[in-house]
Amino acid sequence: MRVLGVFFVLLNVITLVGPVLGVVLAYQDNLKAMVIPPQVENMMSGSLFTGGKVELPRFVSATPDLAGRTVTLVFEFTNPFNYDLMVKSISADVECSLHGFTLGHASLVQPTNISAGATAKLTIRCEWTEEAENHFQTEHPGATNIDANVVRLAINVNDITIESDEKYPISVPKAGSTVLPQFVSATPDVAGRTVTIVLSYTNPFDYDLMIDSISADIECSLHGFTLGHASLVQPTNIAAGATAEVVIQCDWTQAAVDHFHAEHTGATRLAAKVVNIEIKVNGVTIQVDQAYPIDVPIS
Amino acid sequence: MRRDFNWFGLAGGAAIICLIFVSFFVPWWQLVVGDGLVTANVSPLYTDFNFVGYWFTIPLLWALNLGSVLSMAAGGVAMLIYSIYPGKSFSKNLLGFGYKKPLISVLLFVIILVVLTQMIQALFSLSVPLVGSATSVLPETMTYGTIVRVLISANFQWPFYLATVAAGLCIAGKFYHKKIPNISPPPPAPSPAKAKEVTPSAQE
Repeated sequence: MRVLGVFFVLLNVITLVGPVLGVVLAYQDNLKAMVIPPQVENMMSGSLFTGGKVELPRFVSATPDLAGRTVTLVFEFTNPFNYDLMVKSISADVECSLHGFTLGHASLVQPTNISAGATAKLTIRCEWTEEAENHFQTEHPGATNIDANVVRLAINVNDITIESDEKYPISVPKAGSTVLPQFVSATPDVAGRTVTIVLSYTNPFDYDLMIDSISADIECSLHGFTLGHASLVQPTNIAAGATAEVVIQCDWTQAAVDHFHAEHTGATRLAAKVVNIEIKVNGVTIQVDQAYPIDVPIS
Repeated sequence: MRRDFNWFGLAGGAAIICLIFVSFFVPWWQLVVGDGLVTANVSPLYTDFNFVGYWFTIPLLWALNLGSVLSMAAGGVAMLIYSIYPGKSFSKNLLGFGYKKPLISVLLFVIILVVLTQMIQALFSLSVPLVGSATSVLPETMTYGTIVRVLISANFQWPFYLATVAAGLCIAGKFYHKKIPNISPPPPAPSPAKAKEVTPSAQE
């Protein structure tokens, strides 16, 4: 029985030492590989990745929505791994690069899967705050684009959250001013009962816009009196990035004519504003809360 | 003639053999970083890792796993042979060799896991849970100033519980060994003095 006891002790030693000894002999030329296999070394050197190295998402474009209240930022990201990545969320703040003023918060529109080695577009939507709109009006009047920084960026990829303190510069279209047309001229008809208002509009999008209809009221700036109703003369197509003239026509009501005589006797021009604007663009109806000052001739 | 088996030992031996097979497919303990971005399948019998789609094993760990497999297999076979022939002269040696194997594996495995997680915590300030999920922040020296939060989930898998059951059955088999009737030690023989005392009364 003693022999059997010795045999079991030997068996214990052989089963534990044997494989280790075998591996040591197999890797005797490169003992490091016994603990750090070539795959791990490749990982450390980065050659495991299909594209070489991990790069941060590249900024592609910033497009405002039709009402100019949100801006859609598009980034391009190449997945360097041989593994599909799921970008579950992106969260960031957008800051005016000149004043450091926080303009709004941006977040990923929808989780995006990026196949191994593929490049995908990440769509992030940023909503301007009311303070941002005021900031645009007060600090950047006349500007159509503003230099901004994406800050406090947090990306969740496959439940790994990467938070960066770096600033990613982007150029964003200014809220409010991008979609609304600029006033060009107002011309009365011979009888003085209608006025033709010409507006200039630059299409900031990378697709054509079809302005189907415009409906608005014209109000006396001084008295708030509704002078008439304006509507688009004819549907107007504006090519991507092009500037076109949009013509609307306003018929003065009898009450408006009376108002001109009673309240603006002798005046040839009247400070008015276009209110209750409703624009139908590419089938989408936009109601604009703001009032647009115009200068109309009266007779 | 009635044959006595050590049923606990038999079940323990069978459980060890089953455990060896299943451990190649299901780990005892699994660690997942993120949503499967990094996975570690760990057991004393087979260990492998997955890093963003690349599976690999570490040769030294593979050798230690192979040693464990051989040792466990020998222990399982010893338990099975012992359990069928618990009354044989060699059976005690077989039992002594076999019953400790799963117990030692389970204990060593848990101790190594605890020590490793504590070491990682101490060296890299990275909290790795033994069971459950935790969000840990990678050391900034590794991330070049970027804050990287990782969701780490770890859990014991069912083969670990099978291993504890196997260990329990083997220990039960060890205790049951003393209660098997045919191998219970015979009552001590009466001493010659006592025999003499008994003889006269017997004659009377």
